[in-house]
Amino acid sequence: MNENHEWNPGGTQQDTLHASAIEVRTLGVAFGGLRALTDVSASVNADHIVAIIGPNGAGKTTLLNAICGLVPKAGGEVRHYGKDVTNAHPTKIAQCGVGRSFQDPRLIDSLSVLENVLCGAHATIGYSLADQVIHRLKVGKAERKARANAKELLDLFSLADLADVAAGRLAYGPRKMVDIARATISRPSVLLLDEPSSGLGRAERARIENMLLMINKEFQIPMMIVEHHMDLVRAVAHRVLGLASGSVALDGPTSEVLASEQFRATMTGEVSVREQKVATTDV
Amino acid sequence: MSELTAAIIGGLSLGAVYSLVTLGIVIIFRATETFNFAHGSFMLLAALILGRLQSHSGLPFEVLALISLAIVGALGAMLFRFVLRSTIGRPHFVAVIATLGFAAVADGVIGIVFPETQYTITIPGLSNGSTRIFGATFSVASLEISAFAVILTVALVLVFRFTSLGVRMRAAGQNSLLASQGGINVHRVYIGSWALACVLAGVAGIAYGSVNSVNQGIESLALLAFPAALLGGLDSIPGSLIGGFGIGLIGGFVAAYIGGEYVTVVTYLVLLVVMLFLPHGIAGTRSVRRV
Amino acid sequence: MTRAITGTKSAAQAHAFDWRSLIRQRYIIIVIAFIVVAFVTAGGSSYSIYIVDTILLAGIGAMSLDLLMGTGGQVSIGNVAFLAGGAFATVWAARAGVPFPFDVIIGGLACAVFGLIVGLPALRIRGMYLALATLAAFYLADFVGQQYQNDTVGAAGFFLKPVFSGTIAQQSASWAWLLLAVLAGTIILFSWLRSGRSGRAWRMIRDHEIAASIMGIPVSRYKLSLFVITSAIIGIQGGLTAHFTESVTYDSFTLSLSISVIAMILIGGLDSQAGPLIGAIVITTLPIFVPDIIGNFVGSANASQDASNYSEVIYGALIMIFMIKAPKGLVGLIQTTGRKVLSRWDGSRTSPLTDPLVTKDIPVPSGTPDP
Repeated sequence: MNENHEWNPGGTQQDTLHASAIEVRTLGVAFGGLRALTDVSASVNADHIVAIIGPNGAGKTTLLNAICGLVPKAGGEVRHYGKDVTNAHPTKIAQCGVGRSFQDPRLIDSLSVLENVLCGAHATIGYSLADQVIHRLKVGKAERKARANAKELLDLFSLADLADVAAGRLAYGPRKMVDIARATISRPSVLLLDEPSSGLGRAERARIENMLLMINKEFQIPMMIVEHHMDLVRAVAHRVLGLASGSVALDGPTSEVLASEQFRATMTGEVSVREQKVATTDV
Repeated sequence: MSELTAAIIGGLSLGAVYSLVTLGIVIIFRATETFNFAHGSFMLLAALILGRLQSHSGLPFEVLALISLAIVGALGAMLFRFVLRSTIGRPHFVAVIATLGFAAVADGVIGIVFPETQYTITIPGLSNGSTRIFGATFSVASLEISAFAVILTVALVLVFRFTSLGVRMRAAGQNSLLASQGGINVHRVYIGSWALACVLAGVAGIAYGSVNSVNQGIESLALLAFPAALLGGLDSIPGSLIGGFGIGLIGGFVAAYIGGEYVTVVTYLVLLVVMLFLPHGIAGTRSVRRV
Repeated sequence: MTRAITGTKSAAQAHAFDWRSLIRQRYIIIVIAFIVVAFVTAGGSSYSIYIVDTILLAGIGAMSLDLLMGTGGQVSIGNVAFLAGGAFATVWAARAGVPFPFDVIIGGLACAVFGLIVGLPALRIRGMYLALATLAAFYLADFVGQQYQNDTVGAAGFFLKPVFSGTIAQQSASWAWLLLAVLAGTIILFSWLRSGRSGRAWRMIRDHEIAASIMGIPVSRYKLSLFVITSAIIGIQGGLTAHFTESVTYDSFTLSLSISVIAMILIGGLDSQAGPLIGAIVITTLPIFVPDIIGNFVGSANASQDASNYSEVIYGALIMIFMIKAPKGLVGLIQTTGRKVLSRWDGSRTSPLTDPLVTKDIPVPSGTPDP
């Protein structure tokens, strides 16, 4: 994202026009001797939401980590609007406009919710370290603008009255919502969400659902969402990608996939601890 | 010629002791991902306790050694249980600073309880006298101590690699959640690792102190073991041998050809160079992530 | 355990990081320091002015270390290397004819470069490698300083001419005003750096380094710039100390000095404005009281002999206790007690334990949107 809040995908004009927000081709990821992902191909087109489902240890989080550049690849490629980001540094990938939330919302407990959301806007706030000492006026102006922007976003998500609350005092549900807001504030060109509704009750899941739909429709941000709750998947996803033991088991429009026999068979398997070891990673 | 011999054999000889110390540091790092800055204090403490016990009691060396090592091991276990356990889950620097604090306390207590610096440790069975090898003189005892250190270190490396104990410790260190799901009592592994590492520190301290003097010099051994650990790979148990001997050799050459006072500086410059070009060390896991 | 709380009043009360209070805080601290300096230079003994000077000097270093460790989460145990670096570089500049205060500025710049050299290998890797690199810095500084000193003046060390004129008391008083100005400048500079984008970036790097890079924060660059900045300021502290004590010897720079500064920031409270200063006051005045306190428990002859050892024990114990039990330090303790007192005063029945902010009545949206 450059300073005018536009994403700048790079790649040729031709690539850009027809390219998917994220395209993964025959991706492989291995940890030590164990393969976490084998020959995974997936894509998210502009404005769509793709849900990634599968049993524990199937490699869903690993797939997100791979797209973000956090794990080394053993074959295959990842493209962001046509641009090859397979071996790019995670910071560069983020600066190209790939946003991410985590299963465990990683907030700064001692800062307020507003400040936490502003962390996500880092790349879009236009002043440097030197400016903070020399050009105080410029800094003040940029900060005010960024704060107003963040407040507006919190308002949209009905989180406005938590703005000045210390993040450490929030319950799990609001924490997850703040994490999503933080990932959204820079208007990324694609959003990767890892289990946004895990550990939440029905009422809060409904709020998350609303947030996701708003982000997709109003901000037109395509998303890849790792999810376990099928009601959420049904409500928001256009397509579903099912992973099992590191490979793609299902891929298609939501209604089709969720009705298929394969879905019932693949998705209800219990995975042993050893297989879990394959795909979980402390990221 | 004698300088070269002094460099190589002296370096290897010291390297053997470094390996033992480095092994302790690596064990702790693998188990709890902390640098134990109190390692030197444990080394010195064991040597001092043994020294004082030897001069005040007539009990045989083996008994006294066991007592000192038991004390030091217990202290390590207590340090983990009462101080470091509450740092799990918090950012890493919390644990590191806690060990730093403990090191300060230990050093202060050592200074108060053991004000005399004239302890000597006698290990029965160690030879006296010196020998000449290729024109350089070495004390037989220090060579014997080094041989002992190498044998002990190698034995432990093999134990880690091939026994179920070693496998359990590896698992607990790599992913504690999965390890406990797999039936490993992770906390016992942590306490055990700390106790073991501190006992090893004690052994190294006693070994070194028996052929050199029992004073602050022992602690500086531990400080030089950190570059050794980095060189070998912070999470590599066999790497502690590589790193220990590597640093020992470098020190040997520096001492023989340039001067003893350059050893520490050069060793730490080596640390910086290793960090720059080989951050995971020679044998460590290559997953060190660049940010 | 979900309870709906009514209204938004309680939510607004439990603010965490109130910007207005932050801005006010730094001026309050400066004003208090000003008052103390004015008071002590007007009527205090030269000894008490000296103590205040020492505290001001220590405060500068403590604030730097707090910015590095408290805000940035980067552990430095060899930070005394930059004190030494600044002192020796200042001495070298002074001997080359550079007048005060420019020689101190040169000392600071030298330490910035030194910090860059030492930080570059360590900060590009995720993990706690900086602690080891700062140890390397310490040994390097110790060695270079020793060589420089032995080559020029020998074991007695360097002596510098006094900066100010007048009696001892007058000189100390001049120092107090100068150091107050430097401290005030440091406080303001750091509060500019701590708030805003870089503060958020540093804290994110401290708490969740990987998530920070995912947000587009260039982690290495921020870590390195933080280390260089704090090294430079500690270098300036070293240079000022050299002129203040008028002597520099390499053996006055020990690792336990590093540890005492770590104790300062832990006692005061990490990532806070007043914390490092409170810690500086406590640790600086401790050696004055330690022999007396210990003397009550032990024979007084041993007490003074072992004073440095007892100090080590106390620093180490304080470090462990505060790190484990009270990471927010005295500042944090004051804040929590203050909050408890306030909540009891405003009449609301909710105590901090049952006051959730945490849960609100969540309106379930009507109608299900279609994918």
